[in-house]
Amino acid sequence: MTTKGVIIFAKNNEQFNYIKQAEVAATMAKHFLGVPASLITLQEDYTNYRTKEFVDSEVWDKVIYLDDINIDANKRAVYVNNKAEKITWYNLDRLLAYDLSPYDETILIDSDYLIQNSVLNNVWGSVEPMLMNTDSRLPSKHQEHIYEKVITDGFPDIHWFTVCYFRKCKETKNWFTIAKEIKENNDFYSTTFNSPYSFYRNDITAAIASHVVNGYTDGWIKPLPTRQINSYPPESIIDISKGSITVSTDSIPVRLKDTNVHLLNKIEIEKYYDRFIELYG
Amino acid sequence: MNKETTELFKKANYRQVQNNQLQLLKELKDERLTIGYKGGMFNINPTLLNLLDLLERKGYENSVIDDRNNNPIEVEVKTFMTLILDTYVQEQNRALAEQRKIVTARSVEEILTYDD
Repeated sequence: MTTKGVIIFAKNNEQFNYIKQAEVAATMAKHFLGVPASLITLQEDYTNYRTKEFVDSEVWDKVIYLDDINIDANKRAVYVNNKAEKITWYNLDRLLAYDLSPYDETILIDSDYLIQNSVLNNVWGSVEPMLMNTDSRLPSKHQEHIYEKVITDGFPDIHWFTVCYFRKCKETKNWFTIAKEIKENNDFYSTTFNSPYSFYRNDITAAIASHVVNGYTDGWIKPLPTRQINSYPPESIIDISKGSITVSTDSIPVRLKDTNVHLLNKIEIEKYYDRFIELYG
Repeated sequence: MNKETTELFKKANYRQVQNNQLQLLKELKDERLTIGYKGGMFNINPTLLNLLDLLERKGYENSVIDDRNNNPIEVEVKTFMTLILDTYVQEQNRALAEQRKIVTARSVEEILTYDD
């Protein structure tokens, strides 16, 4: 029988407790999708978290430790308490997802991706080896991201690695092999494909990998049945109820009802941890 | 700014929130009208419903149809037709009920909190 489940990578840093966020994301995923969730993290981080926060969570199907790998760290600007701060971001290599996932079919999500409906269940058994979105929107309008929409000539469609479905098969394995190669030679590929980013991004690697495996043509990756809705800082939560998160945006309040959201103002997830667990735990 | 103008701007704000929620609802309905079947991903719409209806009326028990990614998928016509028709009716009804709540809400607060 085919196994299926959700996996989340999490590595804490000075500002964010990604493991705590991942618990919220996994709890909601299990509630709405009815499949197990596994965490990929470092043993030290996980042990510290559970000891310090007195957590006795049973949300995880498996906790997989990644203690023997080299973890890349880079600095990037992130909003912490509504102020832009340069933080250290540890890239706990999600390109190892194929190797590490305990499931035949996997939905890989970010720790700040909150699932509020069961639409993603339509991906199981897909004939496509992988699914990922290449389009996005903001809560209050369509996303007109300068880098992702007005990209330089020849650049592949941006991929939102925030949520990705894959099944274990040769095609997916090949995709991950190419993606690792691109990551290892990031400078070369970033220059070749005119990436507008000065720092490493998994989304860019994914976009180039799909372009390469498809014979240097776009269109290999097919979209998920759900939209990619990105809520960026300083947007913050103003209300949470079952199946609904209301956020304040720069123009209007927006209620995301029965709708999945990528909540990049991740501190909000930690702030409302108890409420999320009360609703879905 | 006089009272009348202030009220007009309040109404504009209300309308902006309402329009956005209606747009999100429309997109959510499209999500819910997407169905995974036999490995394919299908958008349930009148075109698909009409095709299945035609195949069923012409007596086809099985047929190969393209999913939204142009993958040819073999389906059992009657079973698939029942599934997508039930889903279509259910989701259209659900969306209509939600739309009515958004349209009849008297304030921004009501638009954002109905059903809570």
